[in-house]
Amino acid sequence: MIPADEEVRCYTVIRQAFYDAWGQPSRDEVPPGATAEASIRVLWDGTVADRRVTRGSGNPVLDGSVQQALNSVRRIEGLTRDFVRKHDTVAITFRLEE
Amino acid sequence: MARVWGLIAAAGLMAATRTTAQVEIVKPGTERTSLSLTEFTAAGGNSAQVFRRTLEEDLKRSGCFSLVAGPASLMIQGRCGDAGGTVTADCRVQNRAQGKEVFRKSYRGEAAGARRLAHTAADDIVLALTGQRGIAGTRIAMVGLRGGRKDLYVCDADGGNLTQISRDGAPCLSPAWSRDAQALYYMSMHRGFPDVYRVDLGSHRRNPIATYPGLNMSPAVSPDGRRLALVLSKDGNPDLYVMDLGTRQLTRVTRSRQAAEASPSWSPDGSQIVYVSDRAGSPHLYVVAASGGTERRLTVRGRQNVGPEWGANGLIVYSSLRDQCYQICVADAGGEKDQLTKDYADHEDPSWAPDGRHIVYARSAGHRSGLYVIDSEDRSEVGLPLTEGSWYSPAWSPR
Repeated sequence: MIPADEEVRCYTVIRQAFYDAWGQPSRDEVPPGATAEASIRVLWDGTVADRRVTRGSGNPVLDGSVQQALNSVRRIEGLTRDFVRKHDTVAITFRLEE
Repeated sequence: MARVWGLIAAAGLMAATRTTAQVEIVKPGTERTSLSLTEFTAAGGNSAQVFRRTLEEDLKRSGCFSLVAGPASLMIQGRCGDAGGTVTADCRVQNRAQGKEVFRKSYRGEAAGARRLAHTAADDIVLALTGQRGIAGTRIAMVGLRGGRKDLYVCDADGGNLTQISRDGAPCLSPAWSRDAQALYYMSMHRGFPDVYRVDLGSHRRNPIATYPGLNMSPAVSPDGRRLALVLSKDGNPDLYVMDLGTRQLTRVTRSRQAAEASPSWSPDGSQIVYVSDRAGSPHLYVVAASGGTERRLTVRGRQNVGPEWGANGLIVYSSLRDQCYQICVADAGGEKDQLTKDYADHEDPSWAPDGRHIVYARSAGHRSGLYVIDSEDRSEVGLPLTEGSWYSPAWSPR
């Protein structure tokens, strides 16, 4: 069992890592609202083992920027073993603001 | 057998309780053009990999591009390799929308200097594609607290190549770059008193600049490199002075009887100085002519406003105490304009990069302080990868 506040903290850590890593593209190249979905698998020591775009947006620039972000995060510091035990896979949605 | 079934059932239960965590990231679109290094390869040893990785990080940190894995509007093409202690790189940039090559240059240098060579290539590419000079080749000076000892350090703009400059293990503060970026002025207490020194970054030779009785602190080099603004208390209260670096002659700029002055920084044309004074009861920013005269209060908002730096872009960045935390704010000569940071941590000692766009600052949360860079245009922040210690008082070098 993982305490709720600990779970929220781990979500925040993951979100921040990929938020910082994602250099979102320009409005000229990608329409507002475009969305790409990705998936990562995290090992117990925080290593990101698998990373892939699971549902592309159809826009190669957005999908490429998401793949670049996935490639650049090799390890996520600060996750607890309980969190990883509960959530070995993390689905991440990347969306450009409307 | 029952034991085996038990294990299988437990494994099944574990698998069943595992769930996929869901995270959503939403960002506004930018003005950044997509750029990809997918067609730029590194072959050979470690130096080639270092070159490619550094180039990629520099182009990302420039803030001018959105890096993409795969097709992009701008494709970096070519290869880098290393052999016999030499690293070489052939860089080309293809603008796919225009269908033409917009940059081509070859680089060659010692393998040990792969990072610096990549910084040069990144700045060349940024200049060719945007018309603006990059900052990859610049450096950042800072105070580091490691193993209980405070000393002066310098690193590249990306946080790499960390070099220790002083080895005093004594309190030191507020490094300021010489105009040629070959020396630092700073306050050190290694002789027991707060004095101002100049240290040459090539030889590490150190010379005393101001050792008057009382406080000698907050050095700031004028845009022409000939004068030093600093705070001295030799005549009573800490007041603002300007020293002619050729003759060492001092001009007193402020004369406050009941207040203390601190943290001067020059206007881009060298005619004015912004500084901190607590004459109104709490620290706020004031502006005064470099030759002295009537000072003008610049900031009103925030309980305290400290650590100003006047950038070459005409904007003053400073740290403002708002809702329990110091936040990075920007003003122009007319007054306050914008708050750049908002999260619950102290953001202090901001310093402009020479591109007038990026700002480095110290961010403290808990007992540790690290250095971060914020892009003042889109507010994106990134930490410098400085580990093992706490880092304060950053100063971005001129080009």
